[in-house]
Amino acid sequence: MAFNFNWSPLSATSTSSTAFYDHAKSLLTAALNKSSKPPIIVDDILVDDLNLGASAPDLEILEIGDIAEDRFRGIFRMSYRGDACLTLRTKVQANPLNTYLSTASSITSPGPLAANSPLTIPVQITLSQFKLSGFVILVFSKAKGITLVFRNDPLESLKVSSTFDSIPFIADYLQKEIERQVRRLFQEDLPVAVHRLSLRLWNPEYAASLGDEATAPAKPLQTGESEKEDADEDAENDDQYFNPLLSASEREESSSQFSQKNLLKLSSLMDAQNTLSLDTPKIADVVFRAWASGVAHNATMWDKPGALDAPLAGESRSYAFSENGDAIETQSIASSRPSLSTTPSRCNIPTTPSRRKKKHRVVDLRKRRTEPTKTPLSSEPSSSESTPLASAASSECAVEEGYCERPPAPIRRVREDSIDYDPTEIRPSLRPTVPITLIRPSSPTDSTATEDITYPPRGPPTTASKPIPADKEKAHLRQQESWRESPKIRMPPGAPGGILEQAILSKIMAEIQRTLEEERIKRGSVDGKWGVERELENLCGQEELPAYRAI
Amino acid sequence: MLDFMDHVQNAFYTSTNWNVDNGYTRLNSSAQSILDFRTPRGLRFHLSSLSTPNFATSYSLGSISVIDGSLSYLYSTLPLSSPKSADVDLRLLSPGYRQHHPWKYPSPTRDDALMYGRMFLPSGTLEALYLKRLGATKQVRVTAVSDSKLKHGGTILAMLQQDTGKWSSEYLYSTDVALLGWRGLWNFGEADPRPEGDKPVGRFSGGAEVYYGVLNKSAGMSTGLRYTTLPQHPGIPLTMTLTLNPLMGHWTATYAVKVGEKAAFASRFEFNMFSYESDIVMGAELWRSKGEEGMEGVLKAKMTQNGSLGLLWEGRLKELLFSIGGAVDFRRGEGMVKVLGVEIAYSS
Repeated sequence: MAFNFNWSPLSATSTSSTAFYDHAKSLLTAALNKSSKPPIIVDDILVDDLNLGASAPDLEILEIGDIAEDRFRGIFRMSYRGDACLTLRTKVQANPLNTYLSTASSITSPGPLAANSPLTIPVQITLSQFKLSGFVILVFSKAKGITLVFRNDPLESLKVSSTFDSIPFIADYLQKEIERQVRRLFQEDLPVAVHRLSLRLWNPEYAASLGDEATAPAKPLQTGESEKEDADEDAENDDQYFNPLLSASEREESSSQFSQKNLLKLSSLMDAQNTLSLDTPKIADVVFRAWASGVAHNATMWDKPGALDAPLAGESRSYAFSENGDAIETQSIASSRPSLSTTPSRCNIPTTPSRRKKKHRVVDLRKRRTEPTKTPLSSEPSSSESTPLASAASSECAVEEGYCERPPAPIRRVREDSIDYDPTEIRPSLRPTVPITLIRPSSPTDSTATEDITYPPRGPPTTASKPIPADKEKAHLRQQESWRESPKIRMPPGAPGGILEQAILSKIMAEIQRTLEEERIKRGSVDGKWGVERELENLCGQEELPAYRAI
Repeated sequence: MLDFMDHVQNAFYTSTNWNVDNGYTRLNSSAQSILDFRTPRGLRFHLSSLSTPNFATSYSLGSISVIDGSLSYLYSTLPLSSPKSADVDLRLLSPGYRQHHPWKYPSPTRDDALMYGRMFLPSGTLEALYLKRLGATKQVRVTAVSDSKLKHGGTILAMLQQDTGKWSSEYLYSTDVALLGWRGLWNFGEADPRPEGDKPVGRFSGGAEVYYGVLNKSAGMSTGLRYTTLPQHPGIPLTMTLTLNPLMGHWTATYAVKVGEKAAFASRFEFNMFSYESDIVMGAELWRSKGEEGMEGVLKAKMTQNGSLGLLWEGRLKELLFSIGGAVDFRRGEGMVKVLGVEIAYSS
């Protein structure tokens, strides 16, 4: 297998190549003059002429070790017999004694009278008839750029012609010296240059570190945080919302705020979901909603520094009461039902065609309701009378009807129009689950993360009820009560399958937290923390303990 | 201004009757000392003393970028006179136009030796010099430098000098690139103590130098001719030289003239017949005297073709010798002053 290069745009006659050659020449000139030159060269090195010739190099694929959309590793055989040429111009000191004395110590200088007279000669060196043949190892990854290595010395031969062609001694010297330099260029300088260039193209973080990208994000986004980031950001500010499927202009507007790397990954994920493909691209370091609850501690969410300064009570930046309420809701559910993600076959049963809307990437665990009752979100605790029925229904529907029509998807902002069920109606049924918000302060000392949590009407902090998972109905009722009383700890009345285990885990966590709090109150001092707790805080940051959120 | 140790070496040459000027490298010394004077850089102090007639020490401290300094020791088998900064003749310290005399046969002398070492701090560079007279007409001069930054850690230059009055020659070898060299000077005309007749007013000298680097297989050579007036010359003293580097096609012509006791002018014109590059430098030295006691100070100035001006003012203030100099480039708007420096020396 081989490549077919379209080399014609690089021919010197083409107009489009003029700009390319100008750019290449200036780059080459800068590169040649950057390092310290030997004392024999007394002037800047100028690239007079650069021509890549009419024929392209031959590349033959020998081996492909790894191939994917965003990465590649392979070995090629490259050979070149083209007519590329390069002409350099500079001035050299022709008197070797002058060069020698310029570097010698003054006390041991022989001190000639005029034998060291300078003679600067303009030199023009033309490199042509490149004959290259070698094995190239090419490794490409979008995150790490292109690594290109020559496995052997690719230079077979090269013709050097210069002003000194008539003087065999100097001509030989130049030939040898330039061949040595070109070999070094291929084996050392070129890989470095290609790598840097590729990083600049694909890695905005690297580019930002170079300082040439003023619009780079203030805090570089980490891989895997993008989904959280997105959900987070759009709750906070609609203008900052980014959807890969938005129009190009919109994308351009917001693209500066996100890591290009993450955007590429997200868009490939989107593309995968627009088809019937069962395969979801893996994104490194990403916690999918369906897995989320178990690894809640590990999921990180960076907050924008400005947002943390002004947490809003009514509109929490972390999935609070806003037009994005639905997104919040569904996210909580998904994170609480990790066990269901192991049954992807059900995911392909669409319950409603309208759910196929592109923007709807919400994991829906509920049976659709037909009678919508428009209740304001803030008054949802009052609809607790429907809870028994809803909770029973929820426990069934999750198993029987399937919970979504898509594979597990990252949390995205969900538009109201894309949600075809009424949130207020379903909400009570969701309450039994434990919505765990994955909140991590931007710094260990920052306590605003928990302040973001919006609580239901506050009551005196009493002990949370301890529902027995087996007794679903009872437990749920008690949970509902306790939910009003305690802002922090609410336990589910029980859920099928893994949810149960999850609930127990969460409960234990809550219990520990509660006990610690009680102890602290007993001791009457805020600072009187238990050693274990203090250690925990030191380890995880002040507010790292799972914060349960009211909805 | 000459370094204290250079001055002591000159005193050694004078004491041993060695004519430093009778060598090919000093062919155009008059023009060189007027045009190629060294301008001080930064602030630098020298403290020197001839503790005994045979032993001298010198310390210097400077600040160009970082504080640096050097300490040097000199030992001579021949007792030397003490060049105190309070009463030393400034003309010896700041050489200018060189008045040549008719050549004469060397007088017999002792085989004296001089040793000199200098340590630069904090770079740790070490310099050494060994000078030894071998009879009336010969002298060995070995210099060495040790520096970790240099290739092979250092260099040694050995030189055998021979001066018969009528002619002189030098053979040298440098360990760096294994450089071999020879240079010679021939003085035309008769020796000084002419038995009868009128004294000559001028003298022609011709010489040549050849170098060959064994390791880098490179060669260098030049040839030169000088005409200088002798003290018997009725007009103003002048010196003219013409040198040619035939390998590089480089011509150099100098003209130096002494106008009275207190002023001298010099010019140098260079032309390369291969590259058609040329250069011209003009300069002057003006002495200022104080009564009958000798010279009090000297102002040297030079101007090059590209518009840069070099200035140096050297003199004595009480018992201190000072040297203030700088280089100014008029073609550059701001930042015209390129180099500025002050050197203060005290010796006892």
